Amino acid sequence: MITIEPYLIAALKFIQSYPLLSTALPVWLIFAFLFFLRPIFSSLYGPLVRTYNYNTTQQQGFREITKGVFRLFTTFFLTSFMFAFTGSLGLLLSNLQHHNISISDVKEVIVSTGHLLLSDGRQLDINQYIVKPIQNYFTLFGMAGIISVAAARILAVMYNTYSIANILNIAVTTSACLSVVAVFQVHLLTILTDTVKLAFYDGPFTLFKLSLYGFLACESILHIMPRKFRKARLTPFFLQRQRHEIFELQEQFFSRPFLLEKWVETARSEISKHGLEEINWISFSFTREQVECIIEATKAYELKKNGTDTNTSRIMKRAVRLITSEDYYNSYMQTNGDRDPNKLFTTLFSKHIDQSTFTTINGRFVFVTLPCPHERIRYLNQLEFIHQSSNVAFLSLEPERVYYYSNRFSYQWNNETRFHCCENFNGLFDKYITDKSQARLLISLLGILASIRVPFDRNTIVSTLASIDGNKGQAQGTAQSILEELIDTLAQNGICWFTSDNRDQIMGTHLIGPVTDLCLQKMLLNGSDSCMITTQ
Amino acid sequence: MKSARKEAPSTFIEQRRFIRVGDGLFYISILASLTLMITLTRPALQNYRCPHFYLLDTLTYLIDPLLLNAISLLLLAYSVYMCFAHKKDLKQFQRYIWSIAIPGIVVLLAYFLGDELLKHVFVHERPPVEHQLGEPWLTRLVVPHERVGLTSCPSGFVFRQLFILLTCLLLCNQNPSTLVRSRRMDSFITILNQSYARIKSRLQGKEPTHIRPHQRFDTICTTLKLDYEHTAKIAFVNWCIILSQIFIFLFILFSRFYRGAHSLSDIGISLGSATYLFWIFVSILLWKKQVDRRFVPDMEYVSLVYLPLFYFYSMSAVVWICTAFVIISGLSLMYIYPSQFEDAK
Repeated sequence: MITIEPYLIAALKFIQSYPLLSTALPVWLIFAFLFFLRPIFSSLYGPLVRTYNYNTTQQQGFREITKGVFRLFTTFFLTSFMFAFTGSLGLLLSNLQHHNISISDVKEVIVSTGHLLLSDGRQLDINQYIVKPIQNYFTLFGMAGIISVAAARILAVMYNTYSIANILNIAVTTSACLSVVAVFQVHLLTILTDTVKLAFYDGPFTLFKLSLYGFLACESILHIMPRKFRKARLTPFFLQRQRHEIFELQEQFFSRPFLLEKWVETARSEISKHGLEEINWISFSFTREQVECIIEATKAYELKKNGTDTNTSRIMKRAVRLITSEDYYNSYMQTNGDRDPNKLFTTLFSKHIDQSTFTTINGRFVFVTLPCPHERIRYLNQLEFIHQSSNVAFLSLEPERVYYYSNRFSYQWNNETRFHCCENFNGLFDKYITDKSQARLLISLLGILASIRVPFDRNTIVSTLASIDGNKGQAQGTAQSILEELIDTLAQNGICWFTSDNRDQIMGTHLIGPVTDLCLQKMLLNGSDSCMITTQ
Repeated sequence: MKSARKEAPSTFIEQRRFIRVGDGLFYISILASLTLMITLTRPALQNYRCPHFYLLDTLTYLIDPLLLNAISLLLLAYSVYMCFAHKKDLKQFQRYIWSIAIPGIVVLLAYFLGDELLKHVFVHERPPVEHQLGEPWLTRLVVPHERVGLTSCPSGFVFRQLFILLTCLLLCNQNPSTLVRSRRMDSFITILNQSYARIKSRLQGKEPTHIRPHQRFDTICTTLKLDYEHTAKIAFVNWCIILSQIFIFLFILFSRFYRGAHSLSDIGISLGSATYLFWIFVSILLWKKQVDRRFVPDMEYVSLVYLPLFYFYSMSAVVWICTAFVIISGLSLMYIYPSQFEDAK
């Protein structure tokens, strides 16, 4: 067994011999720690607002819930442990100081007799100096940590914001930094460990128990809380989507404009124009609930149209069974056999609903999506090309979604900038914008720009947004010019975007066509190796 | 594009280059091990001893953990072979080599980590001699006496067995028949149904009737172009292997505690440390292969929870500080710089 202690002590002695270095070291360590753990902490506190996946079947929901419970519970336990340990450390130091003992005077903790051996040979009763106060306060500090996480989660769900979670993030990071400083004072930490052990050997179990109670209490409060107080959506464990929501979806399917075919045509013509050889169109999947809706909707549609029920619904059921099977979907990713789900899908669905499609072109990806983000994300995670793609961007109309998705794709990019950008622009909603959907689209684009580190003049955008207020006619023109500029910038940086459903509501149909064409064209012309994903 | 297409394997199963980890296995194993570790290391449980019975004394003496380790390794080797069976680019002898190499690597790694590293870090005394029933026959013959006297935490047998069990669970998930975990139960039910129907028809002296396979399982077989009978058999064998491995693991765990070789805290720490280190290695492997990086941030959360606990349970602050520094820095670098490595590649 190699002992590293002598080397560590030698290194510490070397550092101590240079005062400047030894003073600066903790500062650098804190910076390094913050730098390393900042994205991790923000990913950890992200689930405080949304943890569970709603638009899934029970089985998929179970996976999501396992993940959600794991992350939330870990957050509770980690925070309580960190608070308790840092609190005990402070307590230990203050107690010693109170008795006029410096930490450097303490040579050793004699665990067997329960004494502190000082460097001058004196022995002090550890019970009197440290154990009793720590015994009382270790649990209290842990509880403080748990209460802070629970409060942050409840407030974050109530106000649907990440700012509260972020405040907690700062608090925990600070206490973690203190712990790091303590960690590098090996002597201090050894004393702390021994004394905490003497005082509170059952510490982890107690904190674990408290975390469990805290977690359950927090979730119970959130679920009992009347819906009007919750701004973020929260679905109880294992509950399927409510029936009335399915009917709402059904309505949506009927009322949606069918523009996909136009998109497909445009894309095909553009691709053939630029001499690309191959294009695979693959249909995307629905959630089980949506599938039920589609079947119901189609049946009703057929009945309405022909007066008789055709065998469409039977075929559709078969198609749906195939398409919803993720194995089939994945296998189709690599095989291009006779059983082309796209053909089947297009034949069956394209006339009735706005289907979701993506294509791969020489390693470049265009993505057009359905309004079922969770399902989509789940599939995206399974697709290897997403993992291989060096440049993936996400667009969302709702700022919190960007953060939610970027959590899921956190291994792909550092999502901090985007998140903050969206947060910063959030206030503009109420101040300047009357047409919220338009503003949201702009914000999403800005979010992307920020995420790919493209410099943009924020003042110009703010003033332009301000000018939109109250002038609808002018607003359309201005928005279009801003969008075109933004798209241009995006395309130059290898990012292209599509909008999906509700586009006519967002921008007006007259605008969407040119924008879609423009971005496709830009992307193809630039030959960018990028993937663009848009959401509702 | 065309050349890339030619190189691409013809089916989804063949093109899966490396292992995939199911969310359930990862999260549930971590949560379970964390809960068990924290619960079993309670001071209140440290003096608890099992009441002894003659039958159990004999059973735990005869069924030696070392023997069970060997059986479990054979099962693991079979799992590896089955896992590589659908990889067309591997030759037969290569499959045999992998089937021997992977269990070997796993057991050596577990031995090195558990016995050579962690036992020196967690300096916990063995339970008192009067509570010990002595080592079983094979362990007594094979393991040198001085090694028996080594510190008791973490339990080497439990540590190794958990490593093997997790590897087996991971590999069984790679099999095409169990591509989607939830479907395994379907296949199992299908097999049971078929077996029952066959036995029934034989007893009644009738021709065996065609049993309609389970709908979802059938869909998978059709869509993945797999032979139904063969796939169902593999799924069934997988189930049996998993159940056997779990049984072996539980028996070893019980045997070590029952014979007084380890206290409950030793076993708890074995469970926690083995699970944690196993996933650390898996996340490094997955990251290196650039297939699945999603476990890197999750491993960092897990580390932030596990490492302070290990530090708390062990007597060696320095070792855990350095380990924590290395692991957290390593994982953070893996998290922050994936694309750079990818580009370089």
